[in-house]
Amino acid sequence: MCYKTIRKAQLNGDGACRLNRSGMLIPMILIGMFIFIVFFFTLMRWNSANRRMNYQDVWGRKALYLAKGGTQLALLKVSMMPTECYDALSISQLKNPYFSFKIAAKRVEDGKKPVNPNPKETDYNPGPQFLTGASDNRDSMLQDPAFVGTPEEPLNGDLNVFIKAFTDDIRFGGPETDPITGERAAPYKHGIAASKVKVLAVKGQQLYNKQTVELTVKGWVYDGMNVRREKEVTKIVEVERK
Amino acid sequence: MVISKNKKSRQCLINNPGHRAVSMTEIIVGIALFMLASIPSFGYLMNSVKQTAATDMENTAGIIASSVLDRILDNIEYDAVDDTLKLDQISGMPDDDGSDNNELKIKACVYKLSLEIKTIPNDKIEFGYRKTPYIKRQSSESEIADTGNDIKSIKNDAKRWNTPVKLKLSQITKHKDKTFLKEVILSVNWKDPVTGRDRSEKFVTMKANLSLVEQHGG
Repeated sequence: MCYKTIRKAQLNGDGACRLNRSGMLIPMILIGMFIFIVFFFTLMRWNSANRRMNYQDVWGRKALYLAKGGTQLALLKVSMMPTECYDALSISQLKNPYFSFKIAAKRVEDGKKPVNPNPKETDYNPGPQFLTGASDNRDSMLQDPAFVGTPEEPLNGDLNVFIKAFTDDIRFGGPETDPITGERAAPYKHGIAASKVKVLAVKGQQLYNKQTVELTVKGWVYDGMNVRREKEVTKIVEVERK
Repeated sequence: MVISKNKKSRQCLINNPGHRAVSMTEIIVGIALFMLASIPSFGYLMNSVKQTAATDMENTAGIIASSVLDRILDNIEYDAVDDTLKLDQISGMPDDDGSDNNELKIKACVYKLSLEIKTIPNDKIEFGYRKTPYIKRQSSESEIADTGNDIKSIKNDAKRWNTPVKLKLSQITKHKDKTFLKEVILSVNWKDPVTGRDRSEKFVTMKANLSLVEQHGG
């Protein structure tokens, strides 16, 4: 007997439409398998994502504490050499580091000019105020990437060379350190570096011989798969010429 | 024309439309498919449980390290940072064993903590910078730079612009008997109870003697 004939007989045997329950097991199992596979695939994805995140988290923490350690070194250097740091920051802003904004403010209050070239007077204030000549435009120079670097490379630019020289040794030293990359190999490959030093303007551009600075140090590690993981820590510090 | 081995049962169905039949082949194929899907899935499930436990322990080790190192960096004086610190006590983490033994027992897993401190001598810390360029005194009260005092002129004078200086910390500090920098290496060790594997994570940071400089100058 032909299969089609049986199916027809099953459907129309007593004149009414009736569902055949035989042969339902395999479709049910297939549906069950599908649900199983979807469930375990989801579980697998969730678990592997969770594991990957956790893996990154542990290595991320290692990089974070390196960056925090680098920040301690940077703060130590800034504390020990505030004048050198202030001068580097002043030059990056085209300011004359020897010019005192504090004395200038007092002189302006007394109706005098901010600059006083006479060293014998008590309110001696060596000029110029800014390191720009008559033909220079300070604002446009401070927008020029050739002078101040780019947002991606904030320590590049001619005016940042003093800051760069100041921050260059925010790194590991010693015989176990690679002299080029500044990285150490034990207990895992890692390093630190100052990545950004940004002067924050305060009080209507008058800085009163103090610079408020955003200092960013990054720490990095290479994880078990040799993938570099980086973390940055930013501190805001006040640097005063002493 | 014969179409299947189940001819008898199909014939039975025609004769008795209310009767349900499942053939042996269907049952065997069904069981085989079920096993095919469930055995690797079950295996994976068990593996996932193990991995989740391992992940959980790694995560706990990271949290322990964070709490210990944050305390060391933020709350403990530089001079007090040494390898005698009670790390389980300063971590502030719940400890099921309740004693200060540099071991934290969390969720039936014992995390052993140890600290290695390397004090960096002052003559090994070098601080470099570029010497501030010489800027001539202005001839007048003008705020604008005289010729030769502007940035372009200074930049063109290599001697004024690029005089690198390197000094050792021992040369610039007045605190000759003090140190200023310690390298801190925290190890968190534990044994994975599921796999029996020894696990270890190390975290490196540095602690500077900033309070001394703040209070008494460099």
